[in-house]
Amino acid sequence: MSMRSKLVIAAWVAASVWAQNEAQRPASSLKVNFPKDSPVALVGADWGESQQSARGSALVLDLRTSLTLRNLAPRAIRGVTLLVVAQAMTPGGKASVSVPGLDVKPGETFPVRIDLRLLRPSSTPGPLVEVELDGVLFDDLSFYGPNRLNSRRLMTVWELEARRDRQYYRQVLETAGAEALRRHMLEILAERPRLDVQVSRGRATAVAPGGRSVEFACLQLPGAPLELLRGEAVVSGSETFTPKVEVRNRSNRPVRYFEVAWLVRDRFGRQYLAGAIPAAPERPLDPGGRGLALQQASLRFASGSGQPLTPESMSGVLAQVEFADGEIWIPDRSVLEDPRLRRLLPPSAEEQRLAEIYRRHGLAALIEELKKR
Amino acid sequence: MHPRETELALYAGGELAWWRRWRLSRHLARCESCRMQVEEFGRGRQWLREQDELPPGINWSRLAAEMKANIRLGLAAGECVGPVRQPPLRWRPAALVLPVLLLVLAGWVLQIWHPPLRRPAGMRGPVVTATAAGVELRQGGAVLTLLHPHASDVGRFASGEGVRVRYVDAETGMVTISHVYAQ
Repeated sequence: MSMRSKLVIAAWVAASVWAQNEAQRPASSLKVNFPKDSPVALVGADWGESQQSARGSALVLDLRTSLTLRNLAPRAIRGVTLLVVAQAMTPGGKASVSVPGLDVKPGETFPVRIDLRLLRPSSTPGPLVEVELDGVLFDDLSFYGPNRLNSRRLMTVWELEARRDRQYYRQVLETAGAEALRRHMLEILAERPRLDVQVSRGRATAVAPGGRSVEFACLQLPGAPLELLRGEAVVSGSETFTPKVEVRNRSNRPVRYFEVAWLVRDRFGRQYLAGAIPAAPERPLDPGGRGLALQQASLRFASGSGQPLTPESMSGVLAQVEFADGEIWIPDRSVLEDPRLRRLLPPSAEEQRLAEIYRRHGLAALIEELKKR
Repeated sequence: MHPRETELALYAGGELAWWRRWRLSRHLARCESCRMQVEEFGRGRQWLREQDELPPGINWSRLAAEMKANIRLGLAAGECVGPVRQPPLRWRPAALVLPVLLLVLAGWVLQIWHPPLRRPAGMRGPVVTATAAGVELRQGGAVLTLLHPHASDVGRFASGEGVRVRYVDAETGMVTISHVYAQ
């Protein structure tokens, strides 16, 4: 091989390597797309260590960004949900980032962090990821947004839970004092067993041989609008198929949506919150009528150490109900204080936030926070 | 209830652990049939010990030399009538080279083979997996992962449409909820 040929080959190899490894500007890979009349505006974006690079024939986008949003509305914002859409994965590939428990006054700014990694087989021009506004919840529970992800209901539930829990802890402070409040916070901060979860959607065409049906223990909440009648799921090895719970509407109002919290127990007797089984009947569930919460999916669980977890027994408890008129029911605090339920159910988002304030800034800061609203 | 025969035999030989020995001795104190069985085992052991003792006057060195000579003679006779033996395999070099070859082969296979994501039996559609690092959606060769690198107190739950992760952002202290949908 001549010297000239060697030089040409070396240059070609160097160019290929450079083209594959060069980190491109990530800002062009992300498009933030808010409506013109949006009550929040993007005022800044910190790209941190974001980068986009080619790896063989695949494209890798590593996005580490913090968006700064400003409240343009005349009311305080309580929660916001952003829809994250990966262009390579439409129509199914979408995600959302929600921040509940906010108290952003008009004109104030707040950060929303989005950290994501996208790996796709080939590159096409245009942004790889689009961020849209799905909804904003205000302090009077009014809502703005396209609500494609049902974020109105989700954020309303979180806000109602926040109000319930703040009131409860204010009451604890008044009646039992600061030490009792501290004990509650320590209880929230206590380590709980965590699950790794895998969900595969779609109709189960065949359940693996050897599957067994595991019945739910239905926990009834006093005063709940729905009664859990029975429930079951098929367990095959570490895989659980199609959990379902039948309910009866014992209230005098039609129900258009409900969720059953689903708890699984392993063979060592440890209990985990596995998730929620939702139901949005085609027609609202009339008083006295029966309905079915069903998750048409296959689920796998693993303990925190990565060991596959086979559910030995399961229980269900009503988590939320949305009536046909839009009003939402969540369990009373007095019901949740039942020691059995307290052990089983995780703290709410607001409890988690209050406990974090206590952990970072101490009891005085927490008491100050509880006095705010 | 009477103890097993093996336990009685071990007791007679003094080979039981102290706790079991103590329990058995309590039983023997009130059970004549078991006590007799233990005595029988004791007598048997005594008889065996007596059989071990060889008569006096045996020349041990001579006996050993004769036994060795007989063994050698038997082996030599076997060589004469046995089939022709193949030259021994040089197994030591093979044993050294084989693991190296296996290692190289495994490395090569891992380079070219990427195992497919294990899909649950009978299911179609995208797969959402939540782990300690984040929530990952795999669909059609693309992978979208929502990460939470600065998170503490992370809870992961299966929701109707995918997986929901709730955590405290360690930098801002704000509770953040990521939701990845598998629709």
